[in-house]
Amino acid sequence: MKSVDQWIKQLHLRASDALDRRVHADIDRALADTQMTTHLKIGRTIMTSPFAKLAAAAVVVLAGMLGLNILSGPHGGGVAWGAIPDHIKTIDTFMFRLTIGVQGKNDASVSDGHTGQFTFYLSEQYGFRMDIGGDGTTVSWYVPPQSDTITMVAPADKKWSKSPLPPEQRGKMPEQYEDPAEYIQRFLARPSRELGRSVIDGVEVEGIEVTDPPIEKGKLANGIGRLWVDVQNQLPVRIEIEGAADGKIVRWLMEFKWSEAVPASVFEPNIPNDYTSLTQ
Amino acid sequence: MLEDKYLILRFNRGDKGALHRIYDKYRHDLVTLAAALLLDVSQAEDVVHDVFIAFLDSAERFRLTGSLKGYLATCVANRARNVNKAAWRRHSTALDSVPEMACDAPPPEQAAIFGEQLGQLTEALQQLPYEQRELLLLRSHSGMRFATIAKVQGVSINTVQGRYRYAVSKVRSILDSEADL
Repeated sequence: MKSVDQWIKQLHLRASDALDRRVHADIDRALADTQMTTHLKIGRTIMTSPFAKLAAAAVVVLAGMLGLNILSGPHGGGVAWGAIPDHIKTIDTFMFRLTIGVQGKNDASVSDGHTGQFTFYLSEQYGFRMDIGGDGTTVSWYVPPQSDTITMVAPADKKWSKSPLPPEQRGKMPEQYEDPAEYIQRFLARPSRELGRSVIDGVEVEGIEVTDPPIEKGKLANGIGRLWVDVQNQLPVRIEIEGAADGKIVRWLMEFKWSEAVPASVFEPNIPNDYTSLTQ
Repeated sequence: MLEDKYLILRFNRGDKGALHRIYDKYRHDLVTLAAALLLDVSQAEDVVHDVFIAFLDSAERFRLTGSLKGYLATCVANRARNVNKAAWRRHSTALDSVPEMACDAPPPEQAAIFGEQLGQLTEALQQLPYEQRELLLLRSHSGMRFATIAKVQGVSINTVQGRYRYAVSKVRSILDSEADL
């Protein structure tokens, strides 16, 4: 005999097409109305928002590489792991892209995968750029070197704005991210095995795999982390992390590009004439 | 949970795709909850619509501290309670002039909103006092904890647990009596 609880769990209705249309249309309409103020505030609060914390956390992963101490020893192989940090320190310009994927596991309510993407471009010479999105709604923020302004460009909405940086952030981008090494040190301190050589996007790489890779908060069940390094230039190409959290499969993919692979033009906002300025 | 946190981050910065996704993810559950509370699909959809419009207005200040599904279920429950109170006031006014309108069994169209198989359950829910129906649905359908429901209903956790036992017992008894017929 079914329990009352089981009976109630069987209750199920589908939202009607009419409701779907009504809600989606209202979301679009309301957001169109508030887009202007929202975008302006984004520019002003970007570095204090929860998003910024996530972004900063992501960059710390990269910063770990910048300040990496000598990591010679257990991993060996063709890559001189201990030489990586000194090599990275000679590089001024780089790109770091974090793609987060979350997929339901034994959970019909999240049957489709969901991803998000954050891309950072950092250069002492050219400045700082950050993109959020990747699904056609990407919004980009630009801070020129030694600048007190931040420019936001939203191609999907054909809008842009230029705002002053919060005082506490002035003169600190991207230098604020140059804190070293904790993440990668913890990463490499985990039990590991060599993965040998492989090819990623036509680049010959060598990798190691660690179990239970560190994440920003909490712990992944059955977590695995892989670091792949370009055999030729001895620079990181990719870090992959996957595991389970809250009943979902979580995948983090961190991709890197270095020096001339990141053209100076990416630091210049592209604002076509038909974009609307939100700057007051 | 991670997906929800990420969606809220996007939502906070005004990303319309995030709210569309949140709606798509939880719409059926929320419509079901509202319909079970109000026993009226049309009113239920209005409630869910209103919840999302209010949610939209909170884009910049909203911070997710627990389960997003739980938060939205609470919003639906609060709004449905207001709709129910308004209906009750209208009904009471009508009763002043037309006595003996009360009836334990819901109209056939209400009992059938979840299909014939669940008609008995719908009838049983209809016979519960509203706060017990709400409690039973928040607990068993939305998976909410007693402590959270206590906050939603503004009563002690002991009261909630007592009401829950009573509600389960009453629904069980109604279902059993129907089965005996």
